[in-house]
Amino acid sequence: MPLLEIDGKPVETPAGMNLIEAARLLNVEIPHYCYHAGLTVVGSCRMCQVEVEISGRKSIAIACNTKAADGMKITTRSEVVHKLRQSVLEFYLQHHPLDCPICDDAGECDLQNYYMEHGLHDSRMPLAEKKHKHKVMDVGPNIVLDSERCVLCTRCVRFCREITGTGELGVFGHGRDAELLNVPGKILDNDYAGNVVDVCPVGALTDKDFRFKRRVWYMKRTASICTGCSRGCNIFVDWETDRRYKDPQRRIQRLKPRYNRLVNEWWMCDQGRYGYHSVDEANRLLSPKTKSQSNGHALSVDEVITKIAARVESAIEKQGPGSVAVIASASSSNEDLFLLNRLFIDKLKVQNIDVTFGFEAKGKEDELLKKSDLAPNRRGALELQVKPWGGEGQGGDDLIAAAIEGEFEVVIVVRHDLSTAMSEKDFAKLRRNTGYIAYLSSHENGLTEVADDVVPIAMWAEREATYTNFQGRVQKTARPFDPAGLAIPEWEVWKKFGEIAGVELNFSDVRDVFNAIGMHFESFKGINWESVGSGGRMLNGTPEPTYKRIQTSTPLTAY
Amino acid sequence: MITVRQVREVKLSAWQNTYYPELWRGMFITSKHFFQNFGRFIGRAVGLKVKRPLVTFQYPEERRPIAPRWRGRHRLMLRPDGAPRCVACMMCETACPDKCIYITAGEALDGRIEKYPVAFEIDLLRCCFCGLCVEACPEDAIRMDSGYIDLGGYSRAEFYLDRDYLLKDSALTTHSQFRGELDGVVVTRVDLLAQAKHH
Ligand code: SF4
Ligand code: SF4
Ligand code: SF4
Ligand code: SF4
Ligand code: FES
Repeated sequence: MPLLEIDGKPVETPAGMNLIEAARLLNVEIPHYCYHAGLTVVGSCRMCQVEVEISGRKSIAIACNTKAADGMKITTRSEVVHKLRQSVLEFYLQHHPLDCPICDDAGECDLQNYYMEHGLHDSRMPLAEKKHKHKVMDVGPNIVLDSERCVLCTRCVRFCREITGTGELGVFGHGRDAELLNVPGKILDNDYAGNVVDVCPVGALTDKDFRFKRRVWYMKRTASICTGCSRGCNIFVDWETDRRYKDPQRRIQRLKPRYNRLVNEWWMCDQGRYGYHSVDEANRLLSPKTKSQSNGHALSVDEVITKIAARVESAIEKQGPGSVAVIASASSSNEDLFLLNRLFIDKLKVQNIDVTFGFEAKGKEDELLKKSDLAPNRRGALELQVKPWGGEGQGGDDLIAAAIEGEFEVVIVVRHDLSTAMSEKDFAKLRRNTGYIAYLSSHENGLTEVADDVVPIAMWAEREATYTNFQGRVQKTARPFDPAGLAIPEWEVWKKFGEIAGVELNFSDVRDVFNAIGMHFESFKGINWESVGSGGRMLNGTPEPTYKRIQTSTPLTAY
Repeated sequence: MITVRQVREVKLSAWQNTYYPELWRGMFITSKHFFQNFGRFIGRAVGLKVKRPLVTFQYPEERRPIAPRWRGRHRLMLRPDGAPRCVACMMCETACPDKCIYITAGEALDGRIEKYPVAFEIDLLRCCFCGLCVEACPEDAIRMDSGYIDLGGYSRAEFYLDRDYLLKDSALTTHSQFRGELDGVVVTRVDLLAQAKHH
């Protein structure tokens, strides 16, 4: 392990680490454009130059392409380095349009940041002689390019070639005419296209979904995970709720991937990235609904839960636990499913319960991140013994079929919109044959229309929860803002249900619930809320997956 | 954070409760100022170096001159081609200490500058007229009028200025319809500057 000195401070680095990463170990930031830890090193921008002294001989080197070696002395702050950075910046800003007032990247732009830190020079370029290039150009359905702002670092080019293997972008022309453009005949429409906006160190590539929506400094950032599929990519939720704007229906402004070496590295897929819109959709279910008498006053969530509990209890009393079925969901969190298990399986002895159904939407699966199983917590459901009904395989479908045939007096549905899951005829039959349907839903849909009692539940950005991804890694979502309307987290529904049904489920908050799981399930033993941490934690008895660079092995298309 | 302060009721003394002494005390204060001011007028008339007396302007017929550095209600400027100068960069909104500017940005698809304000609202009732918005603007798109102190209106809504209202006043005009009826004359900035200098 090489031992070197950076700005006078000793640091020991793993073998083969470059100087930018070595400096990061000491929290020293070496300015750079073309280097990205997830991409190959090209060493083209020259922004990362530092002074390197090896056995008494001083020289200038680019930090991204210099490996840390024993006895090196690095100077990242000196007269010489400052002058170098200033000159490089002046070069990049020579033809730069200085669009900052209309540039979405302003506030998180490396040209701005480095200029304020290292540049502060006056431009020697007369305004009229600045080179003009393409502005506001669509390079793909979601991405807009402004090539005047591009610093030609080729990070986006490398992303498309190395990570997705699709190669849609390239640099054309040379000298001051060099310009980033689409490779002829290709548009940037791969499933991971949104990542080029994240890798772009400046505002050259912007996201149509976010363009002009908010200034970055207004937003608050919360670490969370994506619940779009069973991978559970680590993300940041950038949100903003407290300023008065024209569209309050957009509390989440954008999602950004958060580095996690063993889950998603630096990336996330577009389906997850733009999936947040459902949180503030117009058809969010904001208040409970009931078909029975509501005494004329505004209905409270508690009242509806009381109704559900009373109906379930009376059904069990009269016809036994076999008359109740729970169509549960693998999109519920560990806590939800744990309480569901405690309440229905453990206490009420209801056996007709399942989470896996044939009608559940299947996604596209690929070598990078996307998993075809779109439920974020199927592994959790299995670990928590919310088991397939009647044995293996399509147990869930048999449960549904039995429900349609009217085998159950009471059916409790969690999340699934059964009206789109089956034919209209079957759905009508289900409704006709079932005495009582209770439904927990975040959105209004066909089932909220016909169910007897409906409880609005919170979505992933409105509640803290843990999910177990396909690897067996338990990860946390955060709660940047409150649930819409009267919605409450699903576990609270079961807790209140338990209070009414006389089942002891006295947990004060979601962390309590999670911490209690370990007392009942071996795989969660000893895992508590704190120990899950920001990067997640593997279940007991499940080994960490071995690290493999996320990269497609499909060969590059020739062009 | 909300802090709660309890305001105690002021207890009047028995003396104050008898009412008449306080009434006369008030009359005394008013008269004192009247005669003091009267004395200053006479003093000035006979050429004594006394303090400047207070004058009453017969507003709105007669207007008090405004200092040239006075800055009042905002207006948004136009480009020569008629488009708003504002690019909805939200610098003013960010700089505003009273958080009274609300901008919604939109994408212009007509080949002009790509970003423009779809909505630009200023809540004048919250504004403290600090001028930081003008200072912050990189486009010289927002200015504050230098002519008028009389922002009058019959409802709160009249003080909630929207984009089109702010834009139409690139020239100096009055605040409300009501105000326009009252004076009938549009005083130009030049007049006001001249008045101010004269004074
Ligand atoms: S990329 Fe955008 S924010 Fe960065 S310096 Fe250029 S115009 Fe300004
Ligand atoms: S668009 Fe951005 S990432 Fe791509 S080359 Fe230009 S500056 Fe680099
Ligand atoms: S004058 Fe001051 S308070 Fe009023 S809008 Fe401008 S910045 Fe805000
Ligand atoms: S600072 Fe100027 S250009 Fe920017 S939003 Fe305000 S008025 Fe418009
Ligand atoms: S980061 Fe080292 S040359 Fe670009």
